[in-house]
Amino acid sequence: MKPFQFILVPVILFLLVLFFRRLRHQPVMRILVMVVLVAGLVFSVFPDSTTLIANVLGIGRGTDLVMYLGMLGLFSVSGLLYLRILKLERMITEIVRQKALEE
Amino acid sequence: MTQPNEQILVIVPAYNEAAVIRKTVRGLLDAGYPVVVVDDCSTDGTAEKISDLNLFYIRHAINLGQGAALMTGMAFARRRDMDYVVHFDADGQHQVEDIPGLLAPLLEGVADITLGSRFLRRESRRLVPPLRRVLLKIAVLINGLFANMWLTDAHNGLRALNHRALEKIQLRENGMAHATEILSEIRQKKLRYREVPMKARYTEYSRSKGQSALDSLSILTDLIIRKIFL
Repeated sequence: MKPFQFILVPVILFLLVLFFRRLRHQPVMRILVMVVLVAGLVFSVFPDSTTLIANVLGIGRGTDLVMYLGMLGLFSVSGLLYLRILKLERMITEIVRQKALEE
Repeated sequence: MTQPNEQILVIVPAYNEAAVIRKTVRGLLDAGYPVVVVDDCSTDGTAEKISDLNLFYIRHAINLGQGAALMTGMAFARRRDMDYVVHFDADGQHQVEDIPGLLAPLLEGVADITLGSRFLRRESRRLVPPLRRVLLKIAVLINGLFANMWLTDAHNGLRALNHRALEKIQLRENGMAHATEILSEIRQKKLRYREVPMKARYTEYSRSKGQSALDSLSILTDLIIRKIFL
């Protein structure tokens, strides 16, 4: 085992257990997070597997593949968070407006 | 044209306008218009300046932005079943004398909403500072692209709405991007609109309070992000 695996594997395992328990009531989110984490686990244990997949997809190196996937993931998460914030903003506005009109 | 002014509610959104709010509101009240000031959580004593005047006063518990303040004013007007509402800036840029011209197309029944424009008359166009003129023309272009409404002016806060427009227009943009959103709403809800000449008076105060060139960038960002995500 290489040094980075000593760090990554336990961290991912910990996250797996944590989110598996936390997301009990959000089945869709639970499956999504599990898929991402299990993929992370496989890639950490067999780093060469990323290069194999990358080559199939026409991407040069496995690291590049992981980077692209990571960027994709980050953008989607920011988008989801933005929508969530927008929703909150609208709820707050509605509450403040109702309160203002009632006074 | 015999509509009594009592059925016309003037909405004045205000955020930290203590220096001028009284003068602005007095002008409106003297002309016989009922006024609702929507105080967007001012912290400079705006409320105290007008506490003795006979007007409606609504206060947001937190600062939400001008778009939200206008929408609150319109919600208030709906509750009171007003026939017409006017959007009027607190900073002294708008003239009470421009209101009848703004209302005329509504009273004649040829428009549901009228929008003030600084660019319909040569003499009012000249009052606009040169840099502002350029910025506004860029904004006109942006409004055209985003809302597909091609007007002569943009971000002009002076507007008048009849009952139909009041019922239909929904503003969800809390910030300054509401000026573009109103145009989209006009288009989507198929409201009849007119541009009406008005004079904006630029004072040292209104220029310092008004939107800077930088603000227009943040408005654009708002518009783009929402266009992408929604």
